[in-house]
Amino acid sequence: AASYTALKEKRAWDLAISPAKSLPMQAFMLYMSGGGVQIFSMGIVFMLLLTPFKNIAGMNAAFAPFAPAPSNSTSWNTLPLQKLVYVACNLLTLAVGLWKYRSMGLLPTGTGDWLAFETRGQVRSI
Amino acid sequence: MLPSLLVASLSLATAGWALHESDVGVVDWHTRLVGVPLQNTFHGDLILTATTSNVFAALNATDGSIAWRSIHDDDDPVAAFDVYNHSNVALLSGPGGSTLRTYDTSTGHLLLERRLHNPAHARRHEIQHVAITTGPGSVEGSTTLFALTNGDTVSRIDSRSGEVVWTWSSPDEGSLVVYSHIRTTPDAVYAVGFAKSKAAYTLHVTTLSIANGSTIASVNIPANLAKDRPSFVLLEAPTSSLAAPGPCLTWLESTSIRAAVLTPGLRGQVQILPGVNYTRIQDIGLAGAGQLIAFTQDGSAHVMRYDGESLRPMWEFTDVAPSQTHTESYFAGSLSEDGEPRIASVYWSHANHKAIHQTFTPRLAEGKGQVTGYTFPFRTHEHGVIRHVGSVSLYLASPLTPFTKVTFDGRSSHTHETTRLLLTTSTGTLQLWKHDVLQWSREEALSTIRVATFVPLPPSSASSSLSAGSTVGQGISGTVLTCIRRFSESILQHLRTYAVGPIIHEDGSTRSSGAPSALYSDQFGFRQVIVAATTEGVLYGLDSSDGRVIWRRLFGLGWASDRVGGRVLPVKMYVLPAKVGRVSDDGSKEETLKQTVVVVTQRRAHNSLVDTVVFEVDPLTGDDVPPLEDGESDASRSRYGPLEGKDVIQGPMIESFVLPDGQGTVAMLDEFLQVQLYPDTPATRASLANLAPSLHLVLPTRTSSTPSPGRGSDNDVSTRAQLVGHRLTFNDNVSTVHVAYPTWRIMLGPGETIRETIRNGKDAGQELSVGKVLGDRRTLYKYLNKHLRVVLTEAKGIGAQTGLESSGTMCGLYVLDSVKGTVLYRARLPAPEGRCDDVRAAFVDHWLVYSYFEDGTSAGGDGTKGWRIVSVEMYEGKKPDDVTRSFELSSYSNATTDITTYEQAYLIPYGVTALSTTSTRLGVTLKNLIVASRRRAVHSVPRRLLDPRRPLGKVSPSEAEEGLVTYDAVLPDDARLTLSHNYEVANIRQIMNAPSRLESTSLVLAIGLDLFLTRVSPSGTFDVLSENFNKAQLVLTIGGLALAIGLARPVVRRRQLRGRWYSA
Repeated sequence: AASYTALKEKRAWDLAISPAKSLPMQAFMLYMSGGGVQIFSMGIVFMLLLTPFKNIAGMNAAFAPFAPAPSNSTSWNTLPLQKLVYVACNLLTLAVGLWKYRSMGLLPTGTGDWLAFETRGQVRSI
Repeated sequence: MLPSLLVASLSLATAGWALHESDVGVVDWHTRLVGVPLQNTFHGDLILTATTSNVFAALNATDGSIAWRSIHDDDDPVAAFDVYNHSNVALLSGPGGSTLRTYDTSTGHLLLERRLHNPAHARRHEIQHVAITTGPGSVEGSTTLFALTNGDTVSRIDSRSGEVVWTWSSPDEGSLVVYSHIRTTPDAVYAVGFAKSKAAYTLHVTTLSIANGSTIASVNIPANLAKDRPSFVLLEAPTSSLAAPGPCLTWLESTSIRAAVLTPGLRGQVQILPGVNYTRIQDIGLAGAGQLIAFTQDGSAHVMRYDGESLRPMWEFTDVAPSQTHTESYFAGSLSEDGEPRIASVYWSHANHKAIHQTFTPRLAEGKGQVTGYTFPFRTHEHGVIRHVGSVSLYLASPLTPFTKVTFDGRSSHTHETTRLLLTTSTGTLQLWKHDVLQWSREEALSTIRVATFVPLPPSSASSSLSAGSTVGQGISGTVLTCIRRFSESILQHLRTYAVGPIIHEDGSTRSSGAPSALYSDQFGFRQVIVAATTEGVLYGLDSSDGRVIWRRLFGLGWASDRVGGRVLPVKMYVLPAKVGRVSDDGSKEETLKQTVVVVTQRRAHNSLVDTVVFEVDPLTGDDVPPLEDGESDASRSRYGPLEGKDVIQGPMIESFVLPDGQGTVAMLDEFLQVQLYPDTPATRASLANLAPSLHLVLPTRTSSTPSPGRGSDNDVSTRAQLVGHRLTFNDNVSTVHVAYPTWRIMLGPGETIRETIRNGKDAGQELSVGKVLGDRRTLYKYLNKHLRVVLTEAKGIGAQTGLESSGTMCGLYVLDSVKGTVLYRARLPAPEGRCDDVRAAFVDHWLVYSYFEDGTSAGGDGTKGWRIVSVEMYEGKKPDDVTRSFELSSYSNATTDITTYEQAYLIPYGVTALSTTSTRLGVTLKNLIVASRRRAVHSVPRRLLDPRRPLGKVSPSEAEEGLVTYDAVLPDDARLTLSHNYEVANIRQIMNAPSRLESTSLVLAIGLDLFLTRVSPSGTFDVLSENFNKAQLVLTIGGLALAIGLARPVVRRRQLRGRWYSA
């Protein structure tokens, strides 16, 4: 039973760091997709941005099989450490996606992106 | 690799700029002009004319088209010409007649060009001192030209080789005797001129041997000619007489005509014609046939004839002096086909309101003659009459300068049907009348346009129903309802036009639709009215779609039309917005007045008084617009008779501007810096009082009373010109009007004078972007300051201080803030040959472009001779993302000087005569630079090439993203950038532009000797369907889909229903 618990915990850790493991692969895909704004690179980056949120939303369900027996399997309190790492890894993926967005010039960070909303008042008379 | 890529990308981009052959004449038009004629001669079916625009041209007499023209430079004025060999014309031009050219009259080919003396050494005389005449050559078939130049030199030139056979110079080198005419006989050349004496001129004749140019005799003929207008006529003996006598010199001394028959030895007696008192004599072009017109004191005119021995009156025209019933008669003579002289007399009859033409045919055998006459319907209210005084019309001093040619049918000499009469009117119009039918008319005054403006036409009735009615005064719900109604209506209309109407491409020639009287805009607003004011006293309304003259009006002279006469010189022109008129009497409806055009002019009366007169016209019809305070107008006075102006200032005007109150009030400053308003009502005065604190003017210090103290007005080194900023104040103790007072002044350098002040060309109401986004998405915020002015100056005599070897003249360019006089940008430019005329500048938003000629002598310059264009952009702050909000910044803030300028200079392969930028409705489209060149073409320079931030080295990715291309010092000389196709668009002085209703497209009008209008789309026609758009396919596809839906819907319904029944 103890080994079963340890196994479960080990599997939970595996799941927690799985997003980080797939990161090199995703980075390679991003590299291959190039810097241009095309449908392929857009799709990859969109996926990169969406999966972290999807993962985090379904986190409790994902960790339910590895919950220790006595606890509530879908509670936030079970496996807190693993879930925290899982969130962190997902945020890492998100960061990579945002970085890619930025390098593609799709993040409105410059003043030029907001220029259209800038207004100038009436010309002051003097 | 990279350059070739760049070239490839550029050429790809330029492919869209080039003009398609099919568009020529559709999107553009071109009016070739020759200028207001000074001297005309019929030559077969051609009319040879020398004009005030310094053009020598041949017009086809049949249709008035230009057969050929030779455009001379400003420093090469046409002085004299003579036809020889029936097919060639010899022309003397330049100062003192320095250059001789001969042309083939039928083709205009230049046959010969020879410089007779250095133009710099030409002598100037007040009286005519250049003449050319021809004689038989030494070889059979050749012709010898005799040119009188400088008033003291006679040259014999072989017309074929251009070789100067001999030259004779007066021994006194023109200090005493100025020769003005030459005549040849087979054995001698007669040079006749004036000798100066204390009180008057006397005549001097020198005869030269035709063979070697040696002086045969030189005689001073005692005569007493008035100094103000000395004249004589040199009559030739008729060829019929046997012993070929010499020419007869005829002049008027006090009231009697004197004649001297000249012989090579110059021995003879002066004849005096007794009995009749004459007032003047006139050469009517029949001097070769020995005839002239002499006017008597009792108001008649005598045809005088020289028969080889003496001068005798031959015929009398009575009543030629101006009177209540008719004007002065104008005479012209010519030879008929059989060599017989004919004399035509033209006058305007006030009684008949027609011009009357009389032809005198002498019968030499009987010693009698015969006069036949007819009337022709000259349209005096458009071309000649200046003012109606009661029922009497008065001409200007010289309204008709008729140079007529009377040609007759070979057999019958009595028919008038073939009589051709060429009239030059006071308005610069050239008209050819054949009998009483107007054959053609050339509006040569269009070559003298001073100011012009575009006026958009109202939309046609179909679309005007949409825009009719205003939302002012309704509640929100009403506004929303109106919006919904308009939206649905426009949707309906679009559907209608889309489904059934033809596609109107941008180049669609909508001009054909509709009668010419119905002036409506086309769909895209390409059809506008160009209101153009000329120096010849005519105001034109032109159709911008084809250059046709819609209407023409004469400027009235006001008080000066009575006896005094004068000229009206237009200075400024403003389009006043449509005003909402007063509520009519019953108060039921509000009358919306149309927009009007106000022309501010300076009237120079011949007694040297200058007044500022304002004319206001309806731009669509040319009708008078009654000033508001006048109340009701009588409609009858409009259209007929000249425009009535309003004298606003009894003196010259130094500055004018439109008050920014949206009402279109024109304010003018007189010499005493008092502000006069047009219209001058209590409302406009109140409006001025409100706006006065915000008005700032830059005025040069007054060095003369002329409105524009231009170059040359002050060459004194000791006086220093100043630029003075002014504001307006009102003190009712001192004056009844606002007065400008100085606020700041800038001392210019010693000897520096102000040539021109250019306002920021930005149109009000354009919402443009406040910044420019860089490749890394930072922003350069544009420095937008509506108070900026560009001042062009000319500094004479500064070479001594700066140690320049050149002529000591430099040109200056300043950009300054008119509120506080801060100079934001300045440049010193070279002045080739000491003149700054070549510096041109255009300034719009934050972009300044100027061009100049680098003469290669300026210190520190790179020494390459050539034309330069400098592009300067001004941005806020020191670096990208610095914001000072210059647009709304108070002018007194220190931040207004916190700017960064980027500039780059480019070499351009052509000389610039005018610069302008394009303008569009919303200011979203790029602004291209339009350049008129000395190649007589109009070019468009893409904005991208003039970006002053073009990188000097390799283009970085972020710069590439911005669309910057590597700096290249030479702007491409790409024929595809030439807007004017292969037209010759000569001597362009000014380029105007107007937005159309399409944001992408702007109208460009080049004004000069010629007129040229075209459309430009600097960013491509992004808001117009492309030409290969397949409408049928689209309609069919949509129709097919709709049909498919209609067919499939019942099937699907049935399926669904059945599915519900049988599914469970």
